[in-house]
Formats: sequence, C-alpha cells, structure tokens
Amino acid sequence: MKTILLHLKNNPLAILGIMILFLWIFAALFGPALLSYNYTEMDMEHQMTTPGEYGHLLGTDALGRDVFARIIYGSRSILTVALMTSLVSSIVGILIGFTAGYFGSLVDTFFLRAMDILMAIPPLVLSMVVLGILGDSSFLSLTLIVSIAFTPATARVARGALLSCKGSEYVDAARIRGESHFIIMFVEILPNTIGPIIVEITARFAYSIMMIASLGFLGVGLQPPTPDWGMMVIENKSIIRAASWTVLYPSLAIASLVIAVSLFSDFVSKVMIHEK
Amino acid sequence: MKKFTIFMMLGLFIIPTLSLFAGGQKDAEIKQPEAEKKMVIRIAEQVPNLITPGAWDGQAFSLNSSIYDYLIEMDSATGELAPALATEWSSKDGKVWTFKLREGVKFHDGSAFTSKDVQFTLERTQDPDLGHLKAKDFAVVKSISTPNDYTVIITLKESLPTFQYSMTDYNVAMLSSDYDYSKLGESAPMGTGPFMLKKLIPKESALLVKNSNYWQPGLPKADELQIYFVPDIDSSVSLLEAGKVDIVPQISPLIKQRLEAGDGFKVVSPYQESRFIAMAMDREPFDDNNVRLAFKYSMDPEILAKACQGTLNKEIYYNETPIVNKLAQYKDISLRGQDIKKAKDLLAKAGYPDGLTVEFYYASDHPYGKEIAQTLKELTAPAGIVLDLKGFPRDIYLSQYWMNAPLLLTGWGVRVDPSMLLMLAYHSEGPWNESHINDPEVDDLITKIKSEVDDAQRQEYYDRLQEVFFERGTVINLQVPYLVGLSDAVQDYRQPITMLSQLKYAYIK
Repeated sequence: MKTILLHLKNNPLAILGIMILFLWIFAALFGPALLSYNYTEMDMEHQMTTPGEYGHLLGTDALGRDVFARIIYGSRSILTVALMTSLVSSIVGILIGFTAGYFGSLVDTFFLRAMDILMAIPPLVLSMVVLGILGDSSFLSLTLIVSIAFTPATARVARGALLSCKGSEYVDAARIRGESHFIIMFVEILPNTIGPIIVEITARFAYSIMMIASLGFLGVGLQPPTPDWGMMVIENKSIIRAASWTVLYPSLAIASLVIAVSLFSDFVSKVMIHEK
Repeated sequence: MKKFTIFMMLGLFIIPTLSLFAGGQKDAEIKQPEAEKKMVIRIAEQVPNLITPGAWDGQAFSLNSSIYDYLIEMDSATGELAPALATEWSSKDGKVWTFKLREGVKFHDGSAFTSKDVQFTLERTQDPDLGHLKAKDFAVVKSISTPNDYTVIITLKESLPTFQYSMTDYNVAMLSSDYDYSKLGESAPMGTGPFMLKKLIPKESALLVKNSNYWQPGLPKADELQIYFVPDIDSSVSLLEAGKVDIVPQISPLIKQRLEAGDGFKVVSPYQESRFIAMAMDREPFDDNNVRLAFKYSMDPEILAKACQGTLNKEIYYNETPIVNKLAQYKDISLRGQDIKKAKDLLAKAGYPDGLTVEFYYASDHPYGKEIAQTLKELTAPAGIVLDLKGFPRDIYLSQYWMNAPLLLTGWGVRVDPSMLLMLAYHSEGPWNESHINDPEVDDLITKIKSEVDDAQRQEYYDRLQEVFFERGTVINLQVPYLVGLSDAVQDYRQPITMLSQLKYAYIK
C-alpha cells in the first residue's frame, strides 16, 4: 500500500485519472438520486433549451429531455457493461490462455487457431454482425458480444504470462508434490502472473467503454430510451448546429471516462509490471 | 498505452472545439458540372432497388416514376386526377370502364404504346407466379377488351365507382407487352416515361437520360438524372450539404432544422404520410378492446406532435382511424383526450389491474420512428402500460417483425382513394393487414365503400367505418409531413400524394 501511495505521489496524471474515475463511479451510484429530472422525462415546453435555462444544467435535447440527467444515468449503463465486459473477457481469456499454454501441443494449437480466427475479425465488426443477427441489444447480449470480441486478446496475454512461468522451479515442485493441474495453474502460476493480467483487464476496460460507445453511435447499442452516450451523440447529430450541447456533453463524457481509465491503466502498468 | 492516453487527451480538447465551430463554416456551394452543359439533377435515394412495378415494394420512386408512366397521374397543385397515358376515362355504372389512350406515345425502344400494353399490364397483376401487390385489387376485373389500339374497355365483376384511382397506384405503371421479362429481367426496363435508364450499378447508382421522344412537349426539363443509392440518411444529407446531390427524399424533422439553419437549402413537404400505431387484434393483450381503449386514453396528441417537431393540426394530425384528416372522406370525430384514470380502469377491467408490458416494434432509422416510439413509452407509462421498445433498421423491421408483432409502428403512404388502403390493410383478408383486424362490420363497410356508386351513401359508410374504428379499432393514425431536402437550385419539384415524384418538371436554376 505504501508503495502504491508513493507511486501516486509521483504521478499527478494517475491522481487525475483516478479522481475522474471516482467521480463517474460516484455519479453512477448516487447521481440519479440527486437529480431533479428523470432521464426519459420530456419537457415539451422547452425542447432544445440552452444549458442553464429553465433548470436544465446542460440543456435539453429535441424531445425536451434533460441532457445532464441522461449523461448521469448513462454513466450507469456504460460503466456496468464495460466492467462486466472486461471481467467476463478476462475470466474466459485467462481460462482459455492458461489451458492452452499449460497443456501445450494439440490443445494449444486448437485454442490458438480458434483465437486467431476470432482476432482476424475486427472486434467492432464482429460485435456489429452478431448484434445485427441477434437483433436485440440488451445489457446481457451487449456484455456477451463485446466479451467474445475481447477474449482472444486477453487469452493471448494470459497464455504468454503462463509460458513465462511454466518452467519455473516452483511449478516443478508443485508437480512433484502431486498437485492437480487446476491447482498448479490457478493457485501456483496465476498469482505470479497477475501483474500483466491486471494491466490487461484495466486496458480492456478502457477499450470496452470505447466499443460500447461506438456501438451506440452506430445504432446497434442499447435500445432507446436507455441513455447510451454513443447513441446520444448520433441521435443529436442532426441538430448539432441548433443544439451543439446535445452532442458536445455526451462526447466529453465518453472522452473523460476513457482518459481516466487509460491514466489509471498506465498507473497500474507502472506499479504492477515496470517497477517489478 | 501512453501514446493512446496522449491522443485521447488531445481529442478531449479538439473534439469539443470542432463541435463548437461546426456550424460556423459556410456550406460548400453547390456546383453543377461545368465541362458539360447538360442539366443534371442528382438524387440520393435510400432504397437501392429498381423493381418492375408490382413485384415487390421497395422500389426507388424517383427511379421508377421517371422510367414509367401511368394511365392517370395526379396534379400535385390541385390534387385532382390528370390525364397521362389515358386522355379520358368514363363509366356509367362503375362496372364497365372505358379508357381512351393517348396516341403517338412510344416506349423507350421506339415501339408504340397501345391498348395491348394496358391489357398486358393489368392481366399481369393476376400472374400467380409473380405475387403482384395489386393482385387482390385487380381480381375484380372480369375481362379486358381492346377494340382498337387506343381504346381499352375493362369490365368488372362488380361495380367499383372509384376504380380509376387504382390506375394512379405506383404498382400499376404501364409496361411494354413486347418486353421479355423472363429473359431480360430489369436489365433494360421498358417504359414510356420521361427518362430512360442508361446505366444501373446495383446498390450504387443509376444514370437516366432524357427521353427525347417524350409525349409531353417541353418535358422533361433536365437532361439527366443521376441517382445515388445511399441507405444512410445522414450520409445523404452530408452529400446535399457538400453540393454532391440536389435532392434527398424522406428526411427527418431534425434534419429539416439542420438544413434550414444553413444557406442554400430548402425543405418541401409535398404531402402528409401516416405513421400507423397498430395493435394486433388477434394477440394478447390487444385482443381485448378495453386494452386498446386504455392505450388510446393514455395518448396525448399534442405531445406526440411536439415530439415530431410540429404543432397539432398544423403540421401534425392525429386520429384513431385509417383515414387521414386532409382527405374529403375524413369524419371529424373529437379527440378523446388523455385520461390516465380511465385508462387504468379499462386495464383493470381487462384483467390487468397492475398494468402490463408489451413489446413495441418499429423501424429505428425511419423518419419519426425513434421520436414517436420514445414518446409513446413515456405517455403510456403512467397508465401502467410499459412499452419494451424494439427498434430495428427498416429492412430488418419489415422483413422480420412487421405483420408479426403485438404492437408496431409503420410508415404508410396515403392512397388517393382511401378504399385502396382499406382493402390492403384493414380488411380481414388484406395482404398487409398489420393489425390483424378481423371485424365483420369493418369488412362489410369496406366492401360497401368499394362498390357504392352513390357518393353520399359511400360517405355514410365511411363515416360509420370511422366511428367503428373510434369505438373498437386497432390503429392510431399519426400523420406527419413527408419531407424532401433540396438545394436552392432545384426548381419545380413536384410529388403528389401518389408518392411518385414527377421529376420531369424539375430543373436546376
């Protein structure tokens, strides 16, 4: 803990990132309770109201909905899906990567080729195709699809991390002790490779936010009226001249969250890998 | 990761700055090709199809209405029927119809247009292999005789006093009887229209050139039509703003605002079209009229109009029947007004005291789709009707969900003669009966409307039909303006209620 605080002290960008990230987490957890508008509430007397007028801090959109409320509520959906996505893709990726690397031979070839096939398709295209076929973008389907798209990268990182430790003496010792494969992989090796894996999870979190926002922007994200930030940008694109705030603030929200997570990820990388 | 962070930091400042100045830049001026002195009108169409009329709905109207002609067209200024390939038409009893054809009209291959072509076109509607969209409408034809090249006598099985309106339908373009459809397909579409297809690149573009033998002197005014198939409306509008196209049909009201805020563009609304909110009568929960009424009592037409960026009874109209407010057949029934308590009581009566959830399907990329869907969700929530919104791109919506959902929102063009629409969508045997309505009184009234010769009596049937729809109907009819974005250079753009653009009149200033 002391080391982490020491690192933080010397890294003002990381402090900034963590502060922004905590701000968004706070907004997602408690923001809706503090708002005077619901994210779907339509103030038809004040459509496209400029920021600050009629009690709308960041103005309203074409349907008279409060932009601030929609951004705050939107932070819930994007953080939830991004967190779930990075966790699911990491867990599945670790399972696949460890299994492939540990057993090697045909198992390794099979998993590697399968991951290669998935990686050959750009994650955004893969997600769009699957979502297009499914037709319905719920929290669950979005989480699963983005997780599938991100799993190969995590699996490769996990496999690489395992291979670097596979020949270690403590692994041989565990084998001689007669430990099961599962114990060797996840009790012996995993704690010793956790650094790069945690870095991968935090980086994946940032990519997930970008991916979810992109899918929303492309119209295959969450269904309206869920205030998906990417969808808010595309929905209001037509009125960017008349009501630039309807595009500007959701864009800023996406950018600030991605930057915050990236700064945090940089920090984790520094602490977990480089300094080690 | 560090580079990525720096990049994102830069983006944080650049993106908002660009957004703020996005509106300040002067729009690119629209230029016509200078090397050639031809007058070219460029159109961005969202539907990428040239389909021989009648085979399937999904044709680009600007393309088809330029290649083909109709027996009768509509005067876009007066809304009255106007002679086209038929110079006159008459019937004494509504059963035997005589059409006199225009002489000297030629198809694009130089062959003469005669009564044989009319007979071929109409008989083609009954081809069982074709699945013609007007098959049911023209099944009423008993016989077609052609006493000479320029007279067609159509005898119907029953009296249809408004039969002539069928000839304005976009599926009844006059086709050449000499054209080999099985062999040539759509490679060289043969019409008598003002423009001839020169080049078609499927799903990309079509080039049409002036038909110099066109029967209407002085028309068409433009030398060429260049049609681009651009499925994404935002991309189409960007092309218009960049001066790459001159006409973009079917824009949304928000895009209208965007264009009107810039210089060099105008938006016209040639007619109203319907957005039918259809409740499936054969499925829960809308099989119970109490639920349908509860849904209607939760509506606030003024809010819906505002969501569509308009004002009620000015740009936006609302009723609970299939008849649009601006047609003569419309019966002015007072709006029921929003009554949440009554809606809740009706739901309780129907067995839903705690409310209900229903899936609502719509085309998310169709103008007004998202706005109406989200507003409906807000309006029905206080009554206890929770709408689970299911928005899909238009092609997916039409191919997978339309006609097969408990509650849906579909865009409909207005038919000149409402009975055409009634037969299509509100008769229990109608091919596009999206609300699955099956009401003997409705069927009976529609049949009577089709065959009643006396105008006053027919109007009585229309009145009663609208009362039935108000009492126990399956539809809410929200009427919205059909919007077309034009560059200021485009003059005399005409598109009557038949939905067929008349680009023969249009020219570039």
